[in-house]
Amino acid sequence: MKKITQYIKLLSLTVASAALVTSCSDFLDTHSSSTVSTTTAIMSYSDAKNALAGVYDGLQGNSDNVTYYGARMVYYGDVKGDWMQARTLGKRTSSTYEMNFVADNAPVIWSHPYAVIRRANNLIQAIDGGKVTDAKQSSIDNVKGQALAVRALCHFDLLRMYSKSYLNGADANAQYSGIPIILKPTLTATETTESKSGRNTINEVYAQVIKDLEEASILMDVKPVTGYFNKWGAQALLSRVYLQKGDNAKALAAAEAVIASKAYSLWDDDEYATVWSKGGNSELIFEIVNFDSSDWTDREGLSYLISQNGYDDYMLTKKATDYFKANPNDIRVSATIPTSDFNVVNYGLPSFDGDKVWCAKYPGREGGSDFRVNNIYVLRLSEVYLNAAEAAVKLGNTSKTEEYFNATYERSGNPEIANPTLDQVLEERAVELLGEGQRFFDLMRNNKTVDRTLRYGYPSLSKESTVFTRDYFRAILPIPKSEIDTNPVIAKQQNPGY
Amino acid sequence: MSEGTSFSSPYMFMGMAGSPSYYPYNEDGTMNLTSGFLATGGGKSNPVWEREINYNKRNVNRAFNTISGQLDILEGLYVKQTLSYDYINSRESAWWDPRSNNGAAANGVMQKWSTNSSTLTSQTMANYSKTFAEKHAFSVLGAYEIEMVDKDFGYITGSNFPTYLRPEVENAAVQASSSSVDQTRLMSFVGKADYTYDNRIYVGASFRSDGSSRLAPSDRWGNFWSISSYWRIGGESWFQDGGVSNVLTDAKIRASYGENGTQPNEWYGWQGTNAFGYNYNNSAGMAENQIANPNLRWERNLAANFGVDLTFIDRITLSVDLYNRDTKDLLVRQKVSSVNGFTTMLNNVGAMNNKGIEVNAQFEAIRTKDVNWSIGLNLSHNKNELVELYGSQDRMTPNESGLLQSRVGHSYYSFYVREYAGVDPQTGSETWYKNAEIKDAQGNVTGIDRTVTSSPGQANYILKDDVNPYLTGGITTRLNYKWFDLGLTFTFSLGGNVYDANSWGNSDGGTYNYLGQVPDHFDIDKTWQKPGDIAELPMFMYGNSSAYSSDRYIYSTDHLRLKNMTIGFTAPKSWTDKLHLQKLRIFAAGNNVFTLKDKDLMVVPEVPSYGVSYFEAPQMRSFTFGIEIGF
Repeated sequence: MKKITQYIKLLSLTVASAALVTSCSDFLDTHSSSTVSTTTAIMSYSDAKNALAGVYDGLQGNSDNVTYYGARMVYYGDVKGDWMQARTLGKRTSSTYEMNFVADNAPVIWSHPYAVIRRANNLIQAIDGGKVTDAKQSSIDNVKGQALAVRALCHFDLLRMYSKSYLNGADANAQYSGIPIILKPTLTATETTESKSGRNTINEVYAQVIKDLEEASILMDVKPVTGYFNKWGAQALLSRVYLQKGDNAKALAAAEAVIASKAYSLWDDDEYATVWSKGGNSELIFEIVNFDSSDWTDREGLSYLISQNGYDDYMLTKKATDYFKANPNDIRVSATIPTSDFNVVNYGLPSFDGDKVWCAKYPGREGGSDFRVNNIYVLRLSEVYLNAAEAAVKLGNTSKTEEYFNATYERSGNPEIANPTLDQVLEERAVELLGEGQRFFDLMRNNKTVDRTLRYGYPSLSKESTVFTRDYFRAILPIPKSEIDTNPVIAKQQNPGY
Repeated sequence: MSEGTSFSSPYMFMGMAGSPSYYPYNEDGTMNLTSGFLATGGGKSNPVWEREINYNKRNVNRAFNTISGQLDILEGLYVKQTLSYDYINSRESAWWDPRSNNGAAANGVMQKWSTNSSTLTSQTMANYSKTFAEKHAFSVLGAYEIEMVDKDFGYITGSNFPTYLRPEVENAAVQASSSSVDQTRLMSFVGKADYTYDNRIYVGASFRSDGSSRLAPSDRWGNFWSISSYWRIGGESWFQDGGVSNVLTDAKIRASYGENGTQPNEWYGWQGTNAFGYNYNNSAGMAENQIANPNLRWERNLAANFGVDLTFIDRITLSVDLYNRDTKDLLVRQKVSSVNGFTTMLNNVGAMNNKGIEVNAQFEAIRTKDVNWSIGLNLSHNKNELVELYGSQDRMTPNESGLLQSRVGHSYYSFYVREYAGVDPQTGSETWYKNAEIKDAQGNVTGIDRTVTSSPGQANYILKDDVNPYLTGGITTRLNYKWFDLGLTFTFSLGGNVYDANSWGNSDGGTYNYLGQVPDHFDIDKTWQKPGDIAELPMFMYGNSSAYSSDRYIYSTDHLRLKNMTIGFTAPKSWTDKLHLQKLRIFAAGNNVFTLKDKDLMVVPEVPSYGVSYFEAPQMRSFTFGIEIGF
């Protein structure tokens, strides 16, 4: 009897455990509740829209990754120039400003744009592979166009930072002068570990960027939608790309296409001080939308770095404040008025002789509760006007230079200037686009000397970093050590000097 | 509290850059929230204030249950079923008060984490044991095992609080949450057979087949085996009869050989997946989060072990073990070229070898009624070598640190840094050896350029092999004298090195000078002052460039440490009998009491195994006093 009870007990236990396992193969197939297989991830228009949000999310960055439009891409274009500077040593922007770096400790803006490129490539490949068919062709095209536009933006940004300026002598066709063009995602571990992409030439990268943007511009809608690329976004970016490449006629044409579309209008002088907290306003062609703390880049992000109430990390140089002091009627002075003197009062932050050194273009989203949450303005109409003005002045087209230059200059409370020079256009760009990551590239493109003598403090700034031209090897970044270590092909293609 | 800098942990900041002039309380006894504390956050980074109003608490409940049933079928043959269920519930909450540095910008932040994890294991086993002719013991076992781990995770957070008095998420103006469910499974078939002859000779063999959900379907089943044997020579009659047994009282030799497997720690490392939550502009978003690895397979260790156990005059025992372990299909999250959009991926990267020797000795020096004194010694030596890397490269950067390199023919963790060449007497700057290959016209390497440069970009990296110690060990001793007892445990390590990667301390006054604070070890008398100085330390100057990696920051981890010390007094039996107690002992114990180490080494020498030290919390030095009462 005892044995039978024992037997029943054992049997029930065994049955219970057997019930856990339906079959050997199913039992060992597990997956996370928050992932899907890549092979079936994009199978419908709805999936494609999700993937597109993922592409933009990549541009946005997050609190752990601010090496692209979360912060570094924008401040790189400012503090490497002469109108903005790191406040002092040991700040997040200091290494970029000081330019003492070597290959293994330089600021890196490499893996993040390539991660975004991969997301764009996944989407483009799915659409090209015919996996997305359950929507109107124009809707599908609009998605693909945006992925192409973002891919072009990333390749272009990488090129601007890691390669010499297009107009720098005969470099553009030199071997390994560009950055790797990536148009297809690797599929497996073996393919990934063994794929060692080398650098393309500068010309090849420009050709690809322009091809992507031209195609995107055909595929995308014309209607502006806040936070997304449209046809005019691609054209506006094209005008920037052509300008950087020195193709002034095409830069002018692309800029004029955007202006003529009348899809956007310049801010007027009354609203200039208030537009920075209002996304989706009349001038914005492409902005990265950050809604709330689920989007933000937190304390490492651009808004917190640039704010005197945050890390008070970087600010205007003396050169910039001198301009505003000499032009007190320029409404853009307002964009640099400190919102408060909080850190000056409470933490003994220097007051910089009472000069208005803080750029107030990232004041926090209107209606939000936290100044860390701001939209990042990537392309706006003022830049397009000034792209047109710069292209026109180089083409010797006086009337167009005057027209496009004065559009922003007069709007800002200044008297009209007849026949502006290239230097006046560049100064106007510096003022208008201050804090938006453009100044350094303007100087490189035009082969101007970067003179950072007029600054606040920073006695330790080295001689090489105080005055330099685009021929200085640190004007471009070194291919990061992590890439050199994992990619023997590119290891032999490091930028000279590093 | 976390181990961050001034925001998340003002304690670390205080330790690093605090000034004696800082004061936590005002003269009237109120909290000082206005002056001093020059970190970002000003007065609010007062650590006493931070401790007062912020918290991070965790509550863990665990239930471990086992039930089993056994059926005896024949004599020596039984079937047994065991079910175990281990359930862990962990709830954590962290509050950043709006009045604190951490909580100010968001006007208060409450975060709560809840994790339920359960592990269910089942083993169905049949065992047959039989002893023939009293001396031949056989045993055969077959088993089927499964393991199911399920994890259910939830997270909620709220910020912008109407009042700091009610820090619940539902009171917050901004709320967010996330949740996930994860699973991992293991299935095994096990077989084992043993034979023992008269407790003197043993041979055994085992075989197992394991299937893991963490590996690619084509490679998820791994077959492993082992054989082992021992011979207790001390049990042989000719040994006991021989003269040697007067000194050598017992002896045994052991040997084993076999292959076992390791599955990855990551649960889904082989899968190519897209994940969600990559939202944008209020639209749900999706992005690829892992590249597929359809060949991800078991890491295999083929291990051979040979050992001897000897006992001398019943007082001294000595064990010596020699081993060799060949590992192939090493599982590593490998760094990959980031132009493909990912910086690492889980992969079977190569093959590695470990060989070494371990010695363990115990000596009972005194064994009398009143005095007992024993001494123990253990020594181990291991040599590690990366034998092969699959694919086209012979080197890679291990995931642990960019200051390391794993190169075929060298130990897996080797430093890879510039070679420091001292201070330039003219300028006071750091210099390094160029260490560039000199090539002849045909491109053959004819030598190494040993000239010195003060330009870090011109200095090539060199591989330095000695991260891991050559010899580690411990000495333990225990002394009892009547009512007094003393126990000491020393540990030591020889031949290892550490890279002190804390750049704050290593920047010669540069970028990481952290509010002008000078690290203790920058002895101003040893720094370069003027041209011509032959100085030990470079010029210390505000604005110097940030630290460049070099072997200047590699230090020996040779050390001797008094790991543990115990002194106790036990009340005599006559006393305890009166008190109706079994035992009464008063003791004092100390951990990490003292350490002898390289005087230049600023960190605790017990560093991470990969030899790079950042901000690890050191093992605490602690002293305990106690009374032990037995009823």
